Amino acid sequence: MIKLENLSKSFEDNFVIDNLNVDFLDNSITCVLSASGAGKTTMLRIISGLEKDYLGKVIGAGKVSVTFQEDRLFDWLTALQNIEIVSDSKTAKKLLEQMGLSAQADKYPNQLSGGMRRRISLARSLAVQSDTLILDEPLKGLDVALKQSVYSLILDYSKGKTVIMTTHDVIDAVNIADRILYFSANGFKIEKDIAFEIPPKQRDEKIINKYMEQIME
Amino acid sequence: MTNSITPHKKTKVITKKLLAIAFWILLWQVAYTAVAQEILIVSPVQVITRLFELVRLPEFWLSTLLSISRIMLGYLIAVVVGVLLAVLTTKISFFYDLFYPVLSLIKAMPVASFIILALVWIGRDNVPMFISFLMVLPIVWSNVSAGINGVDKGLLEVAKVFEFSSAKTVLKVYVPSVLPMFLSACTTGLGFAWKAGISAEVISVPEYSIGTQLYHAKIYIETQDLFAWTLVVVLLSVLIEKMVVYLISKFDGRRTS
Repeated sequence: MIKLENLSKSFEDNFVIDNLNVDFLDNSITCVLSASGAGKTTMLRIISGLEKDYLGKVIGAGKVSVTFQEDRLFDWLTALQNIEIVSDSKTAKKLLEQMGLSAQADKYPNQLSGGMRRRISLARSLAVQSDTLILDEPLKGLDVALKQSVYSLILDYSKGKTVIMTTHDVIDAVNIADRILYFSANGFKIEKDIAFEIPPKQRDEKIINKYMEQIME
Repeated sequence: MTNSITPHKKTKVITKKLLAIAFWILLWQVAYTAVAQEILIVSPVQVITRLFELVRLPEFWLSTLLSISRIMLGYLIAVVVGVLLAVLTTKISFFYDLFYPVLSLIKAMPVASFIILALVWIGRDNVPMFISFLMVLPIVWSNVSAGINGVDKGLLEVAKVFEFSSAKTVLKVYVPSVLPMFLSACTTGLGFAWKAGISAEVISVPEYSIGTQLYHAKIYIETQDLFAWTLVVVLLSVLIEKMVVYLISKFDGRRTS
């Protein structure tokens, strides 16, 4: 479990995060929703250990793996090498195959489409054995046709981890989240905290629609 | 993307180049005939003939090899020291403040001043090496510094999150990022080193060197020798550059996909 205690972060006297207290549960995917620029990425950077200058406490993040909002691939490495740089070759090849990118294994990032690069970036973060998995808009720019298979990949690789994910698309959230946190744009306060009872893989269309309504309320 | 050229196009390109060269040689021949004073200008044929005479002399090979080794040694030392200085000055601001004025001075000072000073300080045999070193050092330093400062911060964060060791961060993030600028400094520096090195030899006159041969040709007014040795300098310059570019392309091959 990750515990954020009295977390505050300001940029030039402007508190982006103002005294935030929240727990993220183990073996659970929490989807963070808010207006853009509210402080999602800042919170994720603090949990990842990339932002040091903050007030309050972050407890229990353990080993963290991240899909950044930008792909951040190494231009000089092939698709496969971009995953192998954080994992063993077998895991990297398997993930590339699961992402449907085996044929692109030896291609360089500049030879791939935006959606392909996104999947490689996501695969890289899934390839690592971690306690915490941070996914900052992992499905950005992905084809709708691909989303179902990527959802199930994220679910498979999230087992036993504390997963925090952001998205702009509520459909992504109701498909894979166990819990939804909706933050206000001002001071990054929790406005809604909804836990979904039915596990993601058992949700049918009816339940997904019901959850959608719950978020939209 | 591939840069494949059809054999037909290739022959066309080569033909164009050869025609251009033929034009200038012809013009040279015309100038020779028009001037008709062998102290001022000699004919292309005379130069080639003289060159074939020269290559039979052991002195030719001794001069050439010593010039190449001196200048290349200075060049290589500059590449190594330039990289070390770049790392030091980009990572520790104290060293940047300390070395910046020196490197600016080296860049701004005329080569001739250095050659004459070096002649006084270190003796004639080592001057060309020193000059080649001084020419290349600021180029490598500034290019590699710019490369290090330009490394994508986002990728450094990737290295941090995925817990790369320092060695892995250097090898997998810094080196590939800086490599293109480093290699371009190596190619640019080579031309500078070679020309400045030969100039240094002309002024310092080591016992055996291409520059010394040029100097002798000048004082004995052997225009034929002057032209022949100049041709040697040009040919070697092209040859060495082709070799370095070839080595670089092998080294950097994986990037040009």
